[in-house]
Order: sequence, then C-alpha cells, then structure tokens
Amino acid sequence: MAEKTISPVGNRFRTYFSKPANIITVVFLVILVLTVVLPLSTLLLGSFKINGNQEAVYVSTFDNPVEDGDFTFHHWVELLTSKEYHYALTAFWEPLYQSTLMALLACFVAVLFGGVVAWFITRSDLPFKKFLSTVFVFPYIMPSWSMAMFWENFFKNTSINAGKGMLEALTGICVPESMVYGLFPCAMALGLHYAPFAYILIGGILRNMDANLEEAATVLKASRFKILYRVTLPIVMPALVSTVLLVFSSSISSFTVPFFLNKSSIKGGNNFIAISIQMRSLLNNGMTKGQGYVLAIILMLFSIAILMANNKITGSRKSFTTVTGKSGQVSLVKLGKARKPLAVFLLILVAFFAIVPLLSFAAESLLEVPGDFSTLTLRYWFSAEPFEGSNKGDTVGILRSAFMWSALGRSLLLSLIVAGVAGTFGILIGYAVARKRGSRAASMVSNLAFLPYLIPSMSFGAVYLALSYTKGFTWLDGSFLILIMVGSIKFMPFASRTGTSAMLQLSGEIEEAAIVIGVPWIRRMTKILFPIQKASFISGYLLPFISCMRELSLFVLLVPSFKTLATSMLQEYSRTGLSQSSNAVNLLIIIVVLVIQFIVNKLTGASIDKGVGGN
Amino acid sequence: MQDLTFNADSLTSGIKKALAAFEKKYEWAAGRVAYNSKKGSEYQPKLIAAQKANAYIADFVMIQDASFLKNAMLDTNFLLSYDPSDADIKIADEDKNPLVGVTFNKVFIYDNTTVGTEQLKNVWQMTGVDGVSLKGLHNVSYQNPLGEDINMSFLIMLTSPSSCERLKAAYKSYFGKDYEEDPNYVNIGYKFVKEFIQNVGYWHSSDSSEIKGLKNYAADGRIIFAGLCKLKDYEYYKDTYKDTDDYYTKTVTAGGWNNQIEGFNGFVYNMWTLIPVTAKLPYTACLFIKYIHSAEGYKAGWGGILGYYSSNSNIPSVDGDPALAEWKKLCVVEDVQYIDQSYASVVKFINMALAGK
Repeated sequence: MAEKTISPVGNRFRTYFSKPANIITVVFLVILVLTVVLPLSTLLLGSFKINGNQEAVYVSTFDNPVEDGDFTFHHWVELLTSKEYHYALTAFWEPLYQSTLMALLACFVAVLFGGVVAWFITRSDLPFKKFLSTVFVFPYIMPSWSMAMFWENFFKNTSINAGKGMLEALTGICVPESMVYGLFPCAMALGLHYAPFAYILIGGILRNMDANLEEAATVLKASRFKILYRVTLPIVMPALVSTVLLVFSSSISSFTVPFFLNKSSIKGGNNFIAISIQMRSLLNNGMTKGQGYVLAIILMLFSIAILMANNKITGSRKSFTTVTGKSGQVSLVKLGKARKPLAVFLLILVAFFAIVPLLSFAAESLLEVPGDFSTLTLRYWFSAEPFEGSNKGDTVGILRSAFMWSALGRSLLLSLIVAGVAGTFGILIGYAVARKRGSRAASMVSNLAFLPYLIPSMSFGAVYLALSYTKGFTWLDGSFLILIMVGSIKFMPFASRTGTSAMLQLSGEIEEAAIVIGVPWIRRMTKILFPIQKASFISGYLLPFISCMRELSLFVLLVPSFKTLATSMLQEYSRTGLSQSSNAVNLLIIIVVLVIQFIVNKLTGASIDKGVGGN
Repeated sequence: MQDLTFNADSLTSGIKKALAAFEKKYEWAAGRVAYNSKKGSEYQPKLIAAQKANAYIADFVMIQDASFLKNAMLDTNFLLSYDPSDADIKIADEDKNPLVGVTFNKVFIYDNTTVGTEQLKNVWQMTGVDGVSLKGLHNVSYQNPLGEDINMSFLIMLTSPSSCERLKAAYKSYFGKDYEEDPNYVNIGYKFVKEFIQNVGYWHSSDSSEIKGLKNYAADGRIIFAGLCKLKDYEYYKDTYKDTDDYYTKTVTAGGWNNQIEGFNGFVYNMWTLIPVTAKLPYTACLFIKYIHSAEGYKAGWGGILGYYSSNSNIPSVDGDPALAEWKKLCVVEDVQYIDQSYASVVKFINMALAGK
C-alpha cells in the first residue's frame, strides 16, 4: 500500500490550524466580514447613489433628472463644497469643527476625572475606596441624556430665562449661559458620562501593575516625573488610547446631549449645531439620506484615524505585560495629611455626579408638578387605575403595568444574551490578537471588531432592518434573534477592547508552561487565563450588558411595538409628556443594572469596580 | 385557517384608543387587533424597506410628512386610500386621496396670566424689531427644525408665495409702510425666516415638556410654538375642573393661545390614514378607517381634546377651539408641492440662519 504523502501546502494548512489562535482569527474574520463589512458597504454605497424617490426629487434638476438607485457624486459634492448660502460651511465644516472640540474636551474630562480617581483608588491609601469605586460607575449606567438633563436642571437660572435650577434655588448663584447651554456643558456632560470608561480601563491596568517596576526606577534615582513618563504612562497608554478612542467616537456622534443642551438663542453666542444633529437631520429626511451617509462615513474616518494611532501603540513590539508568572506586589502611595481632605473632596464630587442625578430622577418621578414638592404623588409608580384626566389611555403606575414588566423582562433577557455573546467573542478575539500580535490577520480582526462602535446606531439598525425584509431573511423581521444579532455585534467592541487589554497584560510564559505539560486549549482558557484576568473579562461582559440595557437608537427600528423594550417605553413616556413615568423607568433600569452587578459580584466575586480595586 | 391579527401602525396614541373602542364595537375583532407606535422618522425606514421588498408591514398606517407620503409611498403605489364617505361622513374632495385622518396645528402658546393677546399682535414682533405701534418680542421658544421635521416644513412654507402675501400685509401694518424688495433675500419670506430664527430666545427640545412647564415661564412671558393639542399635557396642573364635563377647555384656559395675530397664527398639517398594498386584512382596514372617521370612532380616539380636527366636516372641533376651516384661513397650510420644489434651496438658507450667518 502506497504511503500517504502530505503536500507542503497541506502541511502548512494543518500546522496553521493546529493553533487555536489561528482558528479563532479565521472564524472571526469571516463573521466580522459578514456582520460588519457588509453593513458598512451599505453605508458607503448609499453615499454614492440616489436613496429612494424622495431623494430623487431633491437631487433632480431640469437638465439632469435622476431616479432611485442612480449612481451620483451629488451627496459628497453638495455637503462638502456647496457654496449656496454657505451650505457646506454651515451644515458640515463648522459643526464638524465644533463637535471635534466638544469631543476632545469630553475626552480630556473623562480621562482626567476617571484616570485620577482610578489612580487614587488603585495606587494610594485613600479611605472609602469601596464606596467611591461602586458609585463612580453610576453615570455610565444612566443614559447620557440623563446627565445632560441633570446638568440643565442644576445650572439653569432665571438670569437666562430658563427657570430656576437647583444651584440658584440653593445659593442664589446664577451661572452664565455658556455654562448651561452650548459646547462647554455638552462636553462636560459627555465627559462625566464616559469618565467611568477611563476609570475601568485605566484602573484595571493600574491595579495589576507590579509596583516593583516603579520601585526599580526609584532605586535607580529616576525623578517622579521620569517614573510617570517612562514607566507608568507607557503601561497605561493602551488603556488611555482606548479610552480616548471610545470617548471621542461616542461623543462626536452623540445626538441627545447636544440636542438637549443647545437651547440658547443664536444672539447669545452659545448656540452650536453639533455634527450629530446635522447627521440625524440628514439621515431622517428622505431627501437628504445620501448626505447623511456621507457624514456618517466621515465621522467614522475620524475615529478610524484614532484607531490607527491606537494600533500603532498597542501593535508595536513594546511590551505592556504586567501579569507574569513571577510574584508581583502593589505598594500604595501614602497620602499622609492629605488623605482625609482628599477623600472628602472626592466623595462629594463623585456623589454629586453619580448619586444626586439618581435622587433627582426619583424626585421627578414623585412630583405632579416638576420642582413643586407640595405635589408629591406615588401614582406614577403604583396607581392601578388609569391616570385621571389623562389622555394616555391605559397608562398606569409603572410597577402595576404588565406591559412595563414584560418590556423590562425582555430588555433584561436581551442584555444578558448580548453580554454573553459579546463578552465571549471579546475574550476570544483578545486571545487571538494577543497571541498573533503584529500579524496582519490579527490586526484586521481587532480593527473589524471595533468598527461597529463607529457606525451610528440607527444606521446600523437600518441595515439589519433592510436585511430582515430581504428574501430568505424575512423570518428575522420582528424577531428577538435580530435584536440579539445587532446588540452582540454593536457592543462587541467593549468586550474586544477589554479582552485584548487583559490578554496583552498576560505574559506568554503562563500559557506556555501549560502547553508544555499538555493542557488542552479549552482548559488553559477556563482554568488558567480566565481566572487570572477574571476581573477584566467580567468587565467585558458587564459593559455590553449595561450598554444594551440603556440602548434605544440601535433597536428602535427593529423592535416590534407589542414586544417593546424598557428604553422604548421610556421614550414613549417622554414623547407623550409623561416625564414622571419616564424618570421612573430610567431609575428602574439603573436599579436593575445595579442589582445584576451585585448578583454577579456575589456569584463570581468580580465586578466592574472590583476589577479596578474597590475591594 | 390562519388566525390573523389586525395591525394598526401610527404615531398618535388616539389610534390605540380608537382601536380599543373598535374591539368593543365588533366582537369578532376582540383580542385580534394590535397597535404599534412608532415615531415618524423611525417608522419611515420600515415603510421604505417594506415597499422595496413589497412585503407586509401592517394592515393600516397613519403617517405624517407630506413629502415622504407623496414621493416614497403614493408615487410607488405602496399606500392606498379608501374613501369612507357616506351620509354621516363628509370629506372634502382634496382630503380624499390621500385620505386625511386627523389634522393638527402648531400655534403660539403662552401662560395667559402674564402674556395674553395684547402682547403678540403681529408676526413681525417675533423678529425682535420694534414696529410703529408695537414692540418686538424676544422670548419666543421654537423647537430646532433640524430635530423636528414639522418645524422645518413650517419655515419652508413661510417662503411660499401665499405666505409672502400674508407677510407683506402684516409688514405694512407693523411698520406703517409697504415692503420694498430687499436684494439680500429671494422674497419677504426669506427675510422673515432669517430674522425670526436669529431672534428666537430659546430652542426647546420637546413641545410636550415645554407646554407642561408653561407655568414655570410665566414670569418670562415665554411664547411657545407648539402643537395646540399639547395643551392637554397642561392638565396635570389643574385639578379644579377635573370632574366637569368640559374638562379640557376649562383647564387649558390657563394656557392661552393666540388666533388674532396679523400675518399668520400657526401651521396646519395633516396625518393620513392609509392601507398598504400588502395588507392582509384590507377590508378590516376599510372598516376601521370608516370607524375613525365616524363621530363615534373619532370621539373614542381624539374626542374632547383641543387641537385635533377630523377630516369629516360633520365632526366639530371642541368648544372654544375654532373650526378647522377657520384655522386653515388663519394659519400657513402645509403644501407638499411647494416643499418638494423649494426644499433644496430653503433648507440651505435655514442652515445658514441657524449658524448665525
């Protein structure tokens, strides 16, 4: 019998696929091309064609009539260069410039606030760490517009004809209009909302950083600044860049915050039209959809530029390994006399931005007349009778509404499944990227996994909506599965970022030791790698969970009204003028997330804040 | 045989209430109807996707946005009209195809304990410039047209020939002289739009919230451009009239609106009731359309509330609210042809004004 020979190509193929990291890379490359590249190409194509009859009417001229589906450069030319009434300048260039400033300021606030608090909690002997760490993530659990709403309610004042806010009521102080409406408050609201990102990502690394590294530098007589610049900063740099990337991308495309905090008169000079407001306006109007796609693509290109900077830092051969097989130790900086004053200052600051908004939501849900405490009522929570005199039909207290409970149940189930899928995908991608660091395929998977974050939520939902109307896929229309699909893909970036950061921290020698003694891959993952970086990985599950619980735009086109989600109910209440009920739902969502965090903490011993150092 | 559910998609919760009453009236429909609520901008992509795939979306839809309806839905023959006219349902010919369900208006609303009709008598006051006998006003609140399509349509319509005639007459009355064409503007409507936008004192983000907080702006004397029907949200402040028959008209007197302004008093626009060509229960849709155009069905959905007007001329508006025909005379009325034809240019002009240029 002739001996079987294996060709060199077959041999290479077998060798390649004998490594789990390679299999993961190839599998995810296929998945991500199908779920990310195809939707992206829809956006790109949309920017070069006539999108529907309404747009055809808008683009057509007497000499050049166009039809639905025709190829055109019109959208690009119009938005970027039209001089008619300074259109390109006022609809694109100026909003882009101002929104970039806003996003950069938001990044600065988030990194500074989140990073400083993370340092104090992980590297100093500050008291009340557990409390600070627990409540610091609250602003991220709230929808971003909640922070904007709180900001307005706190700072608005009668000197700018905006009604009396909390600050004026308590102190009589009236801040200038530029602090209440416009670019600055938008940046602050976004920065504070995303500060927990910086806290989680930077804190996770600081916590695991071996103090021997800094001590060695101290022994070598390096100055404090040099230690910070040459030791600490390079180690936290991947997390820092990831934070900037996430915050910048989220801030520049945030619609609700600029929409909410942009109420001042044009003459006042604080009115600014954010690029996201322009994008939403263009995308929502059937006549200018193509221009909306152009804007979405340009915003993505901005974020891709930061993504490339991120890759340059994490993709180089510099090592950021902080968890090795050797023993490590964390020595805490002693704050001395500043310990207590600093703790009190941080407690007040964190409580102000994390707890006071919650109290204000609770209060608003209990007041018949906003701001008037003589009109306290529990009916928006408990009334079983339809609200008296209300035009809302069968609206009852949210805790008595079967519709509300089923919506909350669906939100919870969806978020749990999405977190499970996105979190696991994130760990696997992190493993492949770390093990195949520097390879083109790994870098492609890493980048593709992040791209969904850059696609505007509503456009992403619209692409999947179109898919559900395509022959062969109509079974997806209105299904729960399509919500799981879009949620898992859209929120995967959180998990893949945390997964990659955590895997990059792990020294290869740990897994290598297990390989030498023949431990199979699945056991290496579950018994060695996962337990070591459990805190970070759990963050990779919790972040998609939280994001999914409070997401609205992504699902709004896909969720059937009779099988609605909690956030859809919140929007519906808000739209119909029932701000008490919408505040109550908002609070309920936050409470549910906190309860889940608590349960996860009890069951696994891990949580977002524990990952940083809250224990 | 497959048991089908009658799906009704609409932005207005009035349909939800009408559907509940429809279920009670027709026993066979009980438990077999569903109301799906979607904001216009969120619903349009669904309609377009269904139209392109010629797929089922609902049995009945009620939508606004005249331009979208005409270009994306009627010209593609995806949405069809049914004429429910009979002895009790009288609908004007121009409202039959497409079939108008309910008409709305956006008007200038304020807390009438401090403002009243004396303050706002001429639309040119809202450009902030003083006239011969009246002062300019600086406290008008308007929802950003980039976030609210109806407000954009209103501004576009202000540049139309019919609005220009209204504006010229009001100009003469306010400034005591005829309007002379300004080379900086295409017409007087453009001039008004620019000066109005730059004089808006406050850009609110939600008509409902703004009207609900009307009392907070009493001292400011704020004048809010919002749907008249939103005055129903003001009711929560006024328990006094809760048990009276004319609940709405009594309670909303705390929030006044002006229909004696020279120039125009607001904007009138429609919501249409249509049947998708892919409907699975088209005859039930016809019956339901007939029902909501009848006095009984309309009452179930929108009865007794200011700011809603049936296209059935046999159904009067509520006490204290002028009839729809009167509002159409007093206000700028949405005209899809003008919006389509001028959109490209006027929107650029509005963007420029919003940027403070």
